[in-house]
Amino acid sequence: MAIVFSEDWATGDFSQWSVNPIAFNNVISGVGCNGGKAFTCSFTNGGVTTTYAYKQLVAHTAGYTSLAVRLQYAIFSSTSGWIDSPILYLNNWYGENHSLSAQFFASLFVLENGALRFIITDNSSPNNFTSAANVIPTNGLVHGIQVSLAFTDHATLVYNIVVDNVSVLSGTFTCSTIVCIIPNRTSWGYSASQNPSPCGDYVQFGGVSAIEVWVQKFPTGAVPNQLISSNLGVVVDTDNSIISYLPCNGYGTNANVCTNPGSCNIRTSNFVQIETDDGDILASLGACSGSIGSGIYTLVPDKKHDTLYSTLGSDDTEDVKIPRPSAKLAYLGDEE
Amino acid sequence: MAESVLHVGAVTMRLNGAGNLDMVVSSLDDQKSEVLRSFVMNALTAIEPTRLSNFKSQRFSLEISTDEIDEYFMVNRVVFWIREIYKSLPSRLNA
Repeated sequence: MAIVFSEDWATGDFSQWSVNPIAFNNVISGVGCNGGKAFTCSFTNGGVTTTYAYKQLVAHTAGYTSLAVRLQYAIFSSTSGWIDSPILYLNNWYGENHSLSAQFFASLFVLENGALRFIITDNSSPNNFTSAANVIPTNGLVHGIQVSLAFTDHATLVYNIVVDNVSVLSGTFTCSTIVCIIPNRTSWGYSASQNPSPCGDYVQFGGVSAIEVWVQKFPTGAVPNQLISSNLGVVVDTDNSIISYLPCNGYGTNANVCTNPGSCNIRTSNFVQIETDDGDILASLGACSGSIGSGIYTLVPDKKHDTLYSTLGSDDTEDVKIPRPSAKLAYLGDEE
Repeated sequence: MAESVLHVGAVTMRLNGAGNLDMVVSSLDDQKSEVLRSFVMNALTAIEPTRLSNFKSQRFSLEISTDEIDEYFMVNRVVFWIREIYKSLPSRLNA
C-alpha cells in the first residue's frame, strides 16, 4: 500500500487509499457517500436533501487562513462522455446561511480538453481562471491535485493548484466586494457536488476524494507561498485557536510555529495522527486541548525545576518541581 | 569471615545545595528504616554537618532526596559513624 504523502505526491501515485479513514474523523466524513470515493446525486442530512455528495466543515477559523485540499482524482467520465462539471467546491461558510455579504465560493472543474478551470465567485460574479490544456491527462489514470488557498487579508486570496507536483494554475485574486472572509465568523470546508440534472449521467464518476486537508491560521503576512507535504503521515488540525503543525520544517517563516530550526513546539490540535504506510499509528493526539502534559524536554543548564505548558492550547507555562530527585547508596556493612 | 550487626550512630557529609536534604537509612530491602532529621543546605558552607542516627542492621543504605521545587544537592563525601554491636562466626568456619 502506498503512502500518500510526499513520496506519492512526487509521483502522483494516488491509486490507493493508504490513509485510514479514522485519521479524518474530525475533518472529513471518512466515508461520505459511497465510501467517500465517489459522489452521488444527493446527500441528506438532518432530513434536508442537498446536492452535495459530501460536505465537511473543516474548521471555524479565528483569523485569516489557508486551506489546502489534496484530492484523489480518479476516472472522470460519465455515460454522456466528458463534461464540464464542477467536481469540487472550496467554500467558506459564514455561519451556514451562505450569506453573500461575506463569503466566496471556489469551484474546480476539469474541462474536456484536460484543462483545469478554477472559478472564484465572490459577491458579484464568477471569475474564471483556466489552465493550459491537458494538465489533467484524460487517459483515466489517477492524478493528485492539490488546491491551496490562502487569504493574506480579508479580501486577498492567493490560490495555487498543483497537479502531480507541478503548479498548473496560480495567482492572486482580490475580491471585488468588501470582504471575502470574515475572521472569527467563517468556517471552511469542501464539498464534492455535481450539476443537479440529470443525475444519471454522473453516477459513474470515479469522483474526487480528499486525502489530506490542512487548515491553518497564519499571522498576516506570514502565509507560506506553497503548502508542502509533511514528511510523515497526516497532520490535521481542526482547532480554532492556535496554529498547530508537525513537523515545522516546512514552516520556518512562521514564528509562531517554529521559533528556531530544530526546536519544534507541538501546539494544540484537536486531532493529530501520524501513520506509517502500513497504516500503523505512530502517534495520536485526540481532543487534547486543555489537558496538561510535559511535552518535550529541553535541557537548560543550571535550571533546577521543570517547566511545563499549563495547557496545550496556550503559551502559559508553569514551573514545577522535578519529581523527587534522590540518590541511594549501595548497601554498606559487607563482610570483612 | 564474620558477619556483624552494625549500629549507625551518625552521618557526616560534605554537602552543598539549597533547601532541605531528606535522609533515610534503611536495611536490606527497606525492611527497616529510620528517617533522619534533614540537613539545611547552603550553596557555600564551612562545615560538614553531622546528623545523629540510631539504626541497627546487618546491611544499611542511605537514601538522600529533596521534595520541593528548586531544591538541589551536591554531596562529595559521606562518613558513617558505625560500631559493631554483634558478630557471628558460622560454626563450620570455626572448625
